Parts: sequence; C-alpha cells; structure tokens
Amino acid sequence: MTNKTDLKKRDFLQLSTITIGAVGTAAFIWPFLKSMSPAEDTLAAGTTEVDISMIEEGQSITVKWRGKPVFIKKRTQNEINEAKKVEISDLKDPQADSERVKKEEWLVLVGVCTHLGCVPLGQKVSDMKGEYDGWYCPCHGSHYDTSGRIRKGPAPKNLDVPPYAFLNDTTIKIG
Amino acid sequence: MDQNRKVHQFKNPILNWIEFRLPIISYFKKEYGEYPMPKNCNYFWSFGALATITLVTMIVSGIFLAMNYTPHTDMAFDSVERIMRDVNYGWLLRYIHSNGASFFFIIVYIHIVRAMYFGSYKYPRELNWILGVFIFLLMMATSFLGYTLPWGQMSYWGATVITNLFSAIPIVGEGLKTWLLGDYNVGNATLNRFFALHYVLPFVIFGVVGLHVAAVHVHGSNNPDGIEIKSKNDTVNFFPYMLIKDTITGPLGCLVIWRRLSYFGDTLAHSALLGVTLAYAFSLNIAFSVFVISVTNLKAVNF
Ligand code: HEM
Ligand code: FES
Repeated sequence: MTNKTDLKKRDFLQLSTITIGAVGTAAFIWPFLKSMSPAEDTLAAGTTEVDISMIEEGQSITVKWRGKPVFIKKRTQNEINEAKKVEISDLKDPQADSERVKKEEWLVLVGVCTHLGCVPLGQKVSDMKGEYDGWYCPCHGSHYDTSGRIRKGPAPKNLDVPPYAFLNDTTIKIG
Repeated sequence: MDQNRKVHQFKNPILNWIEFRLPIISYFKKEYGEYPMPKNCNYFWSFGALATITLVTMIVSGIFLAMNYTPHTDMAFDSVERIMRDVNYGWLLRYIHSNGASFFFIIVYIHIVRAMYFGSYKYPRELNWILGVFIFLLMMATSFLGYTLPWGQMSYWGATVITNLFSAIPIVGEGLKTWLLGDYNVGNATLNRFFALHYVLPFVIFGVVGLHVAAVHVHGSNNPDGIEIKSKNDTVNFFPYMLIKDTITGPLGCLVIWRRLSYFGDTLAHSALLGVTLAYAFSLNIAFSVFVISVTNLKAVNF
C-alpha cells in the first residue's frame, strides 16, 4: 500500500457526496416550503358556481372568487357593439372583444384594477362608469370600456378574465 | 483605535473583512475546528450534538406549525385537525414536532446519565451542570405548554391538573393559580398566554444551550476515564474527528426516530405513509451530512 492520495477517487467521492447531499437537503426542505402554499381546503374553495338566470340585460353582479370580487355582466346590444367597434390598434393592451368573452352577452371579469388593486366602480346603476361606459377606478382614475379593457389612466392592463365555463345556460363555474 | 491588534488572516477576503470587524470566524475555528476533544470519548459524547439538532428541528417544525395554528379555544382543535388533513405535509410537520418532543427528552436523559456516570458534573464543570438543569426545567415547561395547544381533552385536563398544583401552596396558592390562568378556570386567556410562552421559551433554551456549550469549552470536555487531559497528545481536533462521530450518530438517531414515527406516528399513519416517511428519513440523514461537507469546504478556504 502506498501513502499517495488517490486524487481522482477523492474528487469522485466529494462530488458524489455533495450531489446526494444537495438532493437530500432539497427533499428535506421541500415539505416545509410546501406547507406554506394554499392548503387543500383553501384550494377546494378555489372554484365558485354562480346561478346567472336572475341577471337582467344591462345588469351586473359581483361574486367572490378566491377572495377577489368577480364581475358578471349581461351586456346590452349597445354595449356589445361599442366594445366591438373599437380599433384594436388604439388600445393600450390590444385585445379583441371576442377574445375576452365566451358568449357575447356575458362578460366575466376579475374586479381588481390592474394598476394597484382597487375595486373599480361601475357595478351599481348609480356608479360612475368612466368615459368609456364600463368601469372607473376612483383610486387613480383608470377608465375601462364595456369589454373591461383599459382605455385611459395609469392602469397598464385590461381587467383580467378569470378561467370560467358555462355548465349550462344558467350556471357558470369560475376557477 | 488599536489598528495594530493581531487579526487572524484567512485566504478568503470576505472572511477577512468580517473577521477584522467581528472576530467570529476565528471564534468558530477555535471552538468548533481546533477544539481539543479527548481521544477516548465514546458515543455518549455525541448526545449533546444530537440534542442541539433536535432543538433546532423542534424550533423549525414549530414555526411552520404556528403558521397554521390558531390559539383560540374555539378554533385551536380545528386548526390542528386542519394541519393534519388539509395543510400540505402538515401531518409530517406535526409528527416531527410531537414525536420530536419525546425524543428530545430521551436524548437529554442519556446526555444527563452520561454526565452522572462519568462524573462530568464535578469540578471544574459545576456551572455546566447547573446550566443543564435550567435547560431541563425550561424544556419541561415548554413541552407542557405545547401539550396544551391542540386543545383536546388531554390538553385541557393536563392544563387543569398542572396549574392546580400551584393551588396547593398555602395562602397565596389560589391567587397564584388564578394569576397564571388569567381566569378562574382554564380558558381562552390561558391558551393565549401558553401559546405566547411556548413560542418564546425554545429560543431562551437555545440561548442557555449556547452558555452551556461555551462553559464546557473553557475547561474542555470530560472523558470516559474521568482523568483530566494532561497534554495535547491526549486529544484530537473537534474537526473532523468528533464531527464525523456526531455525523454517524445524528443520522442513526434520525432513523430511530423515523422508524417510530412512521409506525406509531398516529393511528392514521397507515402503511401508505410509511414509504413516504422512510424516504423522508433518508433525506434527513443525507441533509445532515451536507453540514459536514460544507465545513470541509470551509476548510478548503483555509478555515
Ligand atoms: C424546545 C422546543 C420545543 C418543545 C420541547 C416543544 C414541545 C411541544 C409539544 C410536546 C407539543 C404537543 C404536540 C402535539 O400533541 O401536537 C407542541 C405543540 C406545538 N408547538 Fe412546540 N415545542 C418546542 C418548540 C416550539 C416552537 C419554537 C414553536 C413555534 C415557534 C412551537 C409551536 C407549537 C405549536 C403551534 C404546537 C401545536 C400544534 C400541534 O399540536 O401539533 N413549538 N410542542
Ligand atoms: S388602483 Fe385603480 S387606478 Fe390606481
């Protein structure tokens, strides 16, 4: 036996130990970090079913979904036309109305201003609806149109459309 | 200002920058690198390190439990059930924490028996023993307080019985008990303060452990012969010799805990969980070895 250190063997041992150690540490830490993301009951509350049969034309209701307000509006023919006739290139966040709805008369939006998170006005008949007849955020003056697109003011993006599906003609499931 | 004061020089400039301002690197080098460990120490000398690892594990798992626990009489039990059923890996965190508490005591008992059998409590290590007794008392208080938190029957009656012990004290007893409970009976005020204290006492324990270890290091560790070390020849450096030994004990201890945990964690812990838990135990062992590797690498930068 010689006293010479087998450096290649040592390198191999070091590298393999570090690799296994890194994998082990990650596996050890993972459950702790994962425990901080939404729990099963929170996720179960992540979908909301809404009966839309009572909503009249021109009327809009607010429901809660994942703690956020969601606007469900049955648009009038005027409002639909208004949303469709806009030149896409004029928009700050260009998107056609058809990309934002599943059925023309039904507009579903997350009612959270894309600027800094206030809830825009426009749900009540008496509310200000802004210069584009949709919603108006009173916090810093963002105007949204009848498709929920940003038209004027500091907000950078259109109001979000949440994932939703029509379960039948009178029920939608959000989330 | 004393610019000429002798400063340790390391290869790594960042270490030097810190060392110049706060000589903490050389402190760790001295206390945990070069610390002379008697050659003949056996595995009983690993139980202090095991207890420290367990304390850290308790603190970490406790903090993550506290993120989902509600200290209110109407909600505490439900929040613990939610931890078990809904929170991701909540069951694992809770099993680590509750079984960990039991093993913490087993480990500390072995540590204490070691001190008694080999006479480690004697001159010049009396203060060590005294600080150890404080740690033990704090541990008992902490786990009693923790035991009340899930707010089941055992918690409630446990809290009732233990606090009633104080009422046996003549004259002031009843008043003292009422003061401790913040009510005439065990109630919400009690649960709230118990949670606050259960959160903070482990950190106090951590501080006292620091003093406890610093005190051993002044005169050096005792050894199985009970005869004090005479020369450098009777010792080896803490790193890597003792650390390697602790590295063997640590994972073995973890395995024992994890075996118990996966079989008896709770009646709910069916064998389906067994695989998961064992795999987890395995990674826990490996994680500990990373600690050693990182120290090795520090040595490579002339630690
Ligand atoms: C010396 C360290 C510690 C010891 C000995 C200890 C002991 C205990 C015990 C025996 C229980 C009851 C176990 C059960 O049946 O669930 C418990 C529960 C609990 N502990 Fe600790 N603990 C320690 C540190 C901590 C720390 C640092 C925190 C928070 C920062 C914490 C938070 C909790 C919580 C929230 C519970 C209730 C949840 C549950 O019942 O699983 N613990 N502790
Ligand atoms: S938050 Fe709506 S405009 Fe600023």
